[in-house]
Amino acid sequence: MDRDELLNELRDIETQLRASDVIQFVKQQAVSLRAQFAADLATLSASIGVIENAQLADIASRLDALSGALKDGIKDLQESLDALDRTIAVFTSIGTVVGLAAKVAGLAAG
Amino acid sequence: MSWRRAYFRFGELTARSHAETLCRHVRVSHPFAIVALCLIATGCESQKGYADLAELGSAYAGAVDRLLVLAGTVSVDATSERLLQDREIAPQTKEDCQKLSDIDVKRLALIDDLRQHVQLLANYFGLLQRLAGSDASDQATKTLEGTASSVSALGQRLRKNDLAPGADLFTTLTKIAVAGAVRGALKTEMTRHGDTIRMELNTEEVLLRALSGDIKHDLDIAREIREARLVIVPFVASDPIKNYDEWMASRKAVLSMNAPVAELAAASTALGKLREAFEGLMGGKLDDDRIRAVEGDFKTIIALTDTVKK
Repeated sequence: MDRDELLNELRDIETQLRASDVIQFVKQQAVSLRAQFAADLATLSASIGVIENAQLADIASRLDALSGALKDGIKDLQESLDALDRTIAVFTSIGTVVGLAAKVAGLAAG
Repeated sequence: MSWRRAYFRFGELTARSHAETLCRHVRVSHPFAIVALCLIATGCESQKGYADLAELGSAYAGAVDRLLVLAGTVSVDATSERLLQDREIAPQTKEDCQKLSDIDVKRLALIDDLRQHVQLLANYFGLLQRLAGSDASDQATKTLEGTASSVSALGQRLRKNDLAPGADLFTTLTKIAVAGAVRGALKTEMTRHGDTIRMELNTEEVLLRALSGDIKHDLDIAREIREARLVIVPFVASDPIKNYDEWMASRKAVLSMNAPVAELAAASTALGKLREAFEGLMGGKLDDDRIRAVEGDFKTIIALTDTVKK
């Protein structure tokens, strides 16, 4: 039984034990039995929580391993955007120079 | 032939066939203008694919972030219900409370960490969207339009039209140059980090499956205990129900709690489709229908998280 199967099994058990008819039945039992049941139930819930957290921690660590490359990608994209801005700036400069040249040529022709 | 070479070859053939068709139907004095128009047409198509996917990636990141927040909230609520139920069975101590609360604290920290990862992916797709959806070529064209017009007008005045390019060609060339820079940057980015993004999406698919399971179980538990506490106990009690409207509202809320669970499980399937769309783009096979389908799935997830929160 792998971790996911164990988790599903424990979840099923918790859902059944926390059902209202079971709780009503337990409430009618002796104090010591009720205390034991509540403690066991809390342990079961805690175990489920621990496994769920371990599962999420495992995924988080796998994502951690990728985050360096992802940050590189973000940096590269930002650089590409900056380079694009520079390209536009170059075109604007060319446009200005061509415009001025046209005016000068116009004056010369006129 | 590799897919990249095949893709470029396809581009060349498409451009040539467009040029021939245009030459037959349109009288254009400058042949380069036709090639330029074709390059824009084929280039825009692939750039649109990147832009669509990047938009989808941003929508995805938003949807997963909401799911993560929801997972945290539902988890804390379910623990509160568990604690109250345990207290009804037998007297509880501070340690009993702490035992379950510690797990919640750890869960919330993990969720916070996972949200940062999702945010990182959102940033990536956001930048990709800015680059792919960049209107830089339009901006550059607008800046140059005035200059181009004056050059063209001057050319006519000087009666040397062959030397002074028309305004249309001038702006077209600018568009090609800038759009080419955008496409080049996108292609480089996909080659460099495509595999990382694919692995990231793959891992987040696993995350979504785990989250769906967590949320489903927490909702099951919270619904079961809440139904007993708010609906059944007051209903079977010998005392009259104090407020009928309140009881009805509680019953309605409890019964609606599990409705979106099945669809929540489908969230990881939606992410799977996003990954396929991403792989499709990398292989030059991204289609609009696929994009629309995934977009719809993410909208459903966002709507679901809103429903569960209520």
